[in-house]
Amino acid sequence: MVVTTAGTQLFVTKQRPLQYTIEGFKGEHLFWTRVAEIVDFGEWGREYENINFNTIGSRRTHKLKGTFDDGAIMLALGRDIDDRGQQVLMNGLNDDSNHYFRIELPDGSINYFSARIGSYVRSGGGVDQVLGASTVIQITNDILEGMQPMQLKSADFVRQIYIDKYGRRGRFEDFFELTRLSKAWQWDSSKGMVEFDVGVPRITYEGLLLEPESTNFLIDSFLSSGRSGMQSVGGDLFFGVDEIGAHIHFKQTLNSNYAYKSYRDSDAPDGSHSLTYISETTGFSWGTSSKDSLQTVGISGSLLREVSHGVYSGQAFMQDTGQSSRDRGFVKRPFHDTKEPKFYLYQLENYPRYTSPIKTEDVPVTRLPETLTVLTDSNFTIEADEGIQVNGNEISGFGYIRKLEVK
Amino acid sequence: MLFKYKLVFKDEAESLPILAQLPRLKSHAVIIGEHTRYTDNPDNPDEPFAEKLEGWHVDVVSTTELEFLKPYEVFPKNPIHEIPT
Repeated sequence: MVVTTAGTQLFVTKQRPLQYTIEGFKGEHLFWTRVAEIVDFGEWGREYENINFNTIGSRRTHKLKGTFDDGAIMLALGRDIDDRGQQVLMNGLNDDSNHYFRIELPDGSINYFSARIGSYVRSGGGVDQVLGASTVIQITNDILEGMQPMQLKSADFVRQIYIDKYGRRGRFEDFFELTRLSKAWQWDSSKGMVEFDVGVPRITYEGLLLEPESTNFLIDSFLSSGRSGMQSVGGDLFFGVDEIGAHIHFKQTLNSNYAYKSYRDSDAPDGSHSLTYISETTGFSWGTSSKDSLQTVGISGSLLREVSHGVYSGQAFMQDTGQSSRDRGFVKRPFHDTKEPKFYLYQLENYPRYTSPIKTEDVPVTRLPETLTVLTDSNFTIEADEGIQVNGNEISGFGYIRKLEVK
Repeated sequence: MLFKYKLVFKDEAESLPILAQLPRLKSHAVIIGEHTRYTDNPDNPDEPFAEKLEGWHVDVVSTTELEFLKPYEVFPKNPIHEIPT
């Protein structure tokens, strides 16, 4: 991308880098002073002496490279005797030692080099001209070309495009740190259950997903449904919830295992939990009619809603699940001959709405919360779901972030 | 590398000052609290055997080793909860 010279900055120091490398020029002991009021940078760069060599037989002029000169910068300044950078240049005129320079260019690149101050000439001009100065900076060694560290300008999580303030395209990890100290999963109707390792962001066509901590209390989330479960009126019970005294515990009856979690009644008010089934089949009907695909008990309105392709979820009414009645459970097939659906996940969580799948095996499992840290000191705005919260440069909550713009 | 700790405290009050020392964003605690373990009762499937475990249970995962948690560590033969890492 082509950019203008506007914004180019020159810095100078008399301190010598520990080594003549980009890393050496980044040394923390170097104290850089910016040179102000520059009106023209001129041009700089290495030039080789051309050696011509004419051979009689071929009539050709052969061109060879001879010595090289790293060049000089003819700097034009608006004279400011109070500017510390210009003072360094003025004082360096009668100094034979090297000075060290850093030029920050608007395309994100940085030039580092050593040089001696070859001249400092004051310029007056006519009545309508600004008092100026010109100085020649004679470059004495290689010009090292580095890059500015990436600084975020905008992020489009849906398209996965991240642009820095110099217009360069970066990667997610150049601009963000995602903290999630556990694995996580996502259901994709075409790919199935996708597992994400610790700290790996979950980015889809909907954006970047952030979720709070949540636990799946069912101990075997991937057990297939079958007829080995408890019998209830008209069909099989996939799992149930019992109430024992002042406590409720969850009980998964598919293979005589139990999901263990005890609550005080007050910890499990109606609607505080959600139940989710993920199936390869879309379009199930849930209800109490024998015509429905599946029946639910203890679910708000006896309905599970298909929240996305094959994902059926509803609020769980914990108080409705008694120990001794036929209401003891969440889901059953109306008849033994009802076509058995294939499910990939059963999830019961202490959260009033469905969060992403949490895979369990033998014990309840907790997916830990996600925090996105934006690596910028500047303010920013986001386009995100309502549940997303911003605190300083940290983003957390529940939902998708689609866009982020640094001011 | 992540470090995982299964902890048990005398009660919730004892756990609070300890958990307050956890480094932010570098560690996380899942509060299990009081816990009752249920096992099958072959004579009455509707009334499983209930065994209340002592103490206040907490699982912690951290990016660094946390020496101050070690006095509270337990090593249960049958874990009651898991953080997938």
